[in-house]
Amino acid sequence: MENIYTDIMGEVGEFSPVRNYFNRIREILSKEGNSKYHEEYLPIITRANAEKTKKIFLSVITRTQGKRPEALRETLLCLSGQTDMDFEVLIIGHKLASEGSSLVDDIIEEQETELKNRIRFLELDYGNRTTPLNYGFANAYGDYIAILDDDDLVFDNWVEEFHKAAGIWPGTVLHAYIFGQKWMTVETDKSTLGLRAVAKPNTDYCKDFILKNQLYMNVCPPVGLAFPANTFKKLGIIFDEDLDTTEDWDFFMRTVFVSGITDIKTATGIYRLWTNAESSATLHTQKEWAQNREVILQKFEKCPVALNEKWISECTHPGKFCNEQQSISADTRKNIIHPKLYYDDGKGFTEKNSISGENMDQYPYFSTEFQIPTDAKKLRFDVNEAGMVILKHISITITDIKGKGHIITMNEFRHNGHRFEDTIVYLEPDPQLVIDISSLCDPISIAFVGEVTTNISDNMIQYCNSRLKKSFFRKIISSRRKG
Amino acid sequence: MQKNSVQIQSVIFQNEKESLYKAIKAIDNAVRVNREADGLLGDLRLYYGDASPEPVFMEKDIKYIKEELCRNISFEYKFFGFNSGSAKGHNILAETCNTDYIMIMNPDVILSAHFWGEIFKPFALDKTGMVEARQTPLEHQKEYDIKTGETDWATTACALIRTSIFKDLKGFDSDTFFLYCDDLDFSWRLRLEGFSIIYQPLAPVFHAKRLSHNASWQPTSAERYYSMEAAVLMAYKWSNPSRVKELLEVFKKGGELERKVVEEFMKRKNSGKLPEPIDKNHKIARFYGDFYSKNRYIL
Repeated sequence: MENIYTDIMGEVGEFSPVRNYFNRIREILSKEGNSKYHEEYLPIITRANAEKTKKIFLSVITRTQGKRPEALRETLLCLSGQTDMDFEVLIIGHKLASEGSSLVDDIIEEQETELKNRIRFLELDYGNRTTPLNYGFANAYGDYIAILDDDDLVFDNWVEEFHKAAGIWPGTVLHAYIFGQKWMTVETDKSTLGLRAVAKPNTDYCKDFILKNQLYMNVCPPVGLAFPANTFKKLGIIFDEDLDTTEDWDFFMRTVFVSGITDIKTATGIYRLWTNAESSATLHTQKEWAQNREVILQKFEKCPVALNEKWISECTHPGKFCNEQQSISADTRKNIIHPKLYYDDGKGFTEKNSISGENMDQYPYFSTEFQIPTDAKKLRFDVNEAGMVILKHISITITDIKGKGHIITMNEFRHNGHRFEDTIVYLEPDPQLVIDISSLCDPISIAFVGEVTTNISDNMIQYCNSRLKKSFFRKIISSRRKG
Repeated sequence: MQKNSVQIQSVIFQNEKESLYKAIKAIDNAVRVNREADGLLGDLRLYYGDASPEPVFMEKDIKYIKEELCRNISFEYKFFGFNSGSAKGHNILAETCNTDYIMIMNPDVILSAHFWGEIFKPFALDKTGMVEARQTPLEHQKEYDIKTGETDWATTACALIRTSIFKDLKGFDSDTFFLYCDDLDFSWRLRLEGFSIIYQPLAPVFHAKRLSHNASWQPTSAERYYSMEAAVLMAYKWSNPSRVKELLEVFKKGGELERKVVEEFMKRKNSGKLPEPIDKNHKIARFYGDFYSKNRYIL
């Protein structure tokens, strides 16, 4: 690294992205830039490396708080059915009471010998939900490390598919397709909660990794990922323990920026979405999710990223990737509908003059209402930040001080998307609807109702691109005429 | 406390030995766990019937299974010498069954460790005739009563049956069904006798099924053929002539497999080999489109 740095750095300028990239890598590797890794986890990694007696392909990290014993049993049952048994299991008991610890011990003891001999049970009584991941990764012996939470399900080929992909694309993050499925707990026995599938498996997560989509929202559940151990152990890319939600997204992307990623186009597991049980979605407010998300996005902006050919192609040919590949995470659907109202008091639209809204309906439908500030002359509605959506069945109603509603038709507002039949297609970020309310008498509130979809067809893209070309040529012709 | 003896029987057909060894080890382990907990399980006999063209197991394999894998259970193996199909194969294996319960199981199913602690519980009620285990990771879609566990029929991927009932019903209808719907037909006949079928979500078993990445099954042509054939025969046997007519009309216009189903049905009809229709008052049989029970979702 030092030689490359010396050889190349002298030839590139101060603001060169290559210089910036290497400087950020150096920062990750330095003690000052990564003290938690150096002080807390490197000693554990060093000890684990010394203890390791044989080569293992995959370390499976399973966090448990002992609250879902039936689900933990089922997760282990899935591991016992693997076609490829080249793995170890680290069950990290986090803040277990003594009963919980005994329960996990009993569950492990129940297992058949071939699986039982692969399990290590480690207990941790400090930190937040992210700490057990770092602890597990540091203690892992495997060349690759996967997170299998105590309520995930995997098919018999989960390890096998990771192993095959690692053989072809070693050192990359491995990403397998995963089904999402709604489940519930049922009380069939007074002492035990049974588990019941509520809906068919959905294919929301059966899509390839698209960098620019992933920079906006995470659509890759952890159960479908296996990480090369060295990025954690040697490069010090660890989980951020300041995050108590979406910590997996943050870690995943920072690892992918350095290691790259391999897609496995086979579904190997099920990410269970609980309809009536505690989960990270229920334990944290929307505000906490939004705050963590902002933190993560700011971290992405500071990460070193080397774009490969595919990632560049995603930017130069968005239509080639958005249609089949774009997917919607059930957990992050709330980010597709993230309504915000901007108001122009004569000085233009600014972040200072903006109001974040709440969706009163459920994806894919939105329904949101804002109070209109008294000095507002124009209003701008953004359904989200990222764009790449279609708005359909839009209904806008402004209510005045007398309670009378004024319906704003599609011809009465401007937008920065493309009108396609009775929808508006936004291929770019910051999708906007702009309404001039200066002629209205005493408007006090505005309500937006409609539907969003990310299913943008090839026809739509071609249509939008052809309109852009025509617009571009019109501008060229117009400028030549002026010249 | 009275212990219950069980015969687990599986019909194998060219299965990979390693997957069978894994299943056997899981059965043996589940018995160990139940014995250590002083559970309800008594003696357990695992009986494989081999319908393959050539035996899956040689003598040395059987010796290995008995000496190395079966610490808590006994093991028997019978090579049929012909392709019996599942219905007939199970009937053959059940002929010598003298245990309290008989468990019909796919040979690659892996029992959970605490399986035996849960699967017997519904039999506390005398009217329970059959208890079905929950398959994972892909749970069967059919509906069941959340409070009682009662369900319309049981798949025999893994189901425990009172042996007395199995014998009274003369096992599976192997004259009619080769590979599919033998379990459905048996379930309905069991219910016609007044017994109930319970689905036990607390007894999960791992069944290595996979879906394509668009969440659909990928049946082989043999699976497609036999399931279509069974559908027509079920409708005929369970007194649903309009469904028989509907299916035959659709299949006549279909591909080669579909037309083969029609030919086979007509051949049986003309030679008097169709089953005698039963449940003419439709006390038990229910047809919900292509399904035989209400479903929580459609896969």
